[in-house]
Amino acid sequence: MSNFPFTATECIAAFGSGEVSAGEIATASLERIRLANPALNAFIEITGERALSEARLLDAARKHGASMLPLAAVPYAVKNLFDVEGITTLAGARLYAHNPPARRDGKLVEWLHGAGGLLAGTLNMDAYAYGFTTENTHYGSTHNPRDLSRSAGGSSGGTGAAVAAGLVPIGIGSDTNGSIRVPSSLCGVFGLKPTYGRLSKTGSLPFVASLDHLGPLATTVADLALAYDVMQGSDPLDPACAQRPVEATVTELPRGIEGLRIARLAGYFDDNADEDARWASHVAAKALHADDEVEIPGAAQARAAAYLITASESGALYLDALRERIDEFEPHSVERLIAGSLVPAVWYQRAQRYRRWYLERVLALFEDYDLLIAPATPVTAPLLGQQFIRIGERELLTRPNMGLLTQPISFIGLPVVVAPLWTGSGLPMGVQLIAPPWREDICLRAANALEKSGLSGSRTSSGAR
Amino acid sequence: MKDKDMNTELTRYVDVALALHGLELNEARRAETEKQFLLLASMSRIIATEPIPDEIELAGIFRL
Repeated sequence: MSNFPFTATECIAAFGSGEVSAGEIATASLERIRLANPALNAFIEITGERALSEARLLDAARKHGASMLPLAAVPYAVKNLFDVEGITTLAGARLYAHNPPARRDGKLVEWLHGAGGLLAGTLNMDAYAYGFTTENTHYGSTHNPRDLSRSAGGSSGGTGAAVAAGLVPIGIGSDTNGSIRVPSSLCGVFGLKPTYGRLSKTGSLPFVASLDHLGPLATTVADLALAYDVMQGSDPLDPACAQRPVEATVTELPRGIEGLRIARLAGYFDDNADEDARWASHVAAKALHADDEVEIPGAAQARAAAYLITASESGALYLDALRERIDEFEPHSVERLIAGSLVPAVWYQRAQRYRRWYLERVLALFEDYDLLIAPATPVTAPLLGQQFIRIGERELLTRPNMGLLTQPISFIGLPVVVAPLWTGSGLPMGVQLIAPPWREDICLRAANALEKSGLSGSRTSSGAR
Repeated sequence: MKDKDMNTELTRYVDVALALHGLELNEARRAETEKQFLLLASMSRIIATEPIPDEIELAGIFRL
């Protein structure tokens, strides 16, 4: 089992060469899930029959000489806010437990299926995607595979844990304020939050429509780029989805950082980072030859505005349900949703206007730089149930503050790849590689350069202090 | 307005807004809601003084 294909790239190669069948790959992944999931609680539903059925079709097609699909025989799993035909879409919430099963796959699941992926299941998350720790009262906490006593991050914590534990090579999550990037950092995997509007959200449950993004997590940059490329495409059913052609990134990876002007973000991004986080940011900057340090003007205000928009839009979304079924809500977030529903329009409107203003000021930075580097989380993985995190002399509540460094970036929709580094404690710490809108290729090239340098990677602890 | 007066007004606002929304909460839940709302009020103050130009307005859907 240990020599079985592990990454997506290995699965595709092994299947393509005839070394193994898709059925064997699916069976191996399902066996890993069966063994590991009881300790991790990453999967809420395991779709073994579907994965095996998809594998049989691939094996039959290969026998008949069909051409290889781009994601042929690659097991993957999705956060349980994606529609999967025949399964109730939960978004981590008991509120939805009695909804009928989805009648069809969400758009990204549909495209991953069309590319030859094998769907292994749906993954745990903070209820409604409102949280950074995947401590879910109704479906249980997800445990971090690097240390089972610690949080996997959230809200895509099940996705981070499943990928980090090697149960599936690719996981799909969502990121409103950091929900792909925080689990990537805490679990030690690569994660991509694309530009706002780059990937279709059709067939996924919204949380904060004007901030929601979907994207992949993986154990290698090549796998991350592969998954991202397969999921690109315009979608007339999603009003936020950009009408842009597919811009393949896999072929761009070998270019590395040649010609890129790179700077490290200081100021707010140092002030809200502990020693491990600042270390990771400096190490990545050195490796990527980022000699300059810059500050994003107004990052603290951006975080505040993101907080307000999140509260207001999610509160409005759930107001009817709060009136009718309040006792079914997740205790960790119900009062935040209620308070959000009370936000005056002038606060919300000002936050949205600030967003446009701040975007223009940040875009001005990209006239001088192609890539910006910052830590992904203020600290490494906190213990499950840990109420406070410490940043220097400050003690902050864990749940709302794990996104301190991600919120000012997703607020304006910039593409980000998180690349994991390994601290002296043995726990991972991610760095955000941030590019101008629509330049996911730049983020991925820089992450690839870090991975090739041996400093960043998901499966080893190379690069530790 | 002094902070104490402001918080009193915000507390009254919470009660009125909850009633307008038709949300009846037990005391513990109301108290936690008020705490969360005061946090949101503090967030709104962080951006309240930013000199955003008047011409900055947004369409309903955020686009890059």
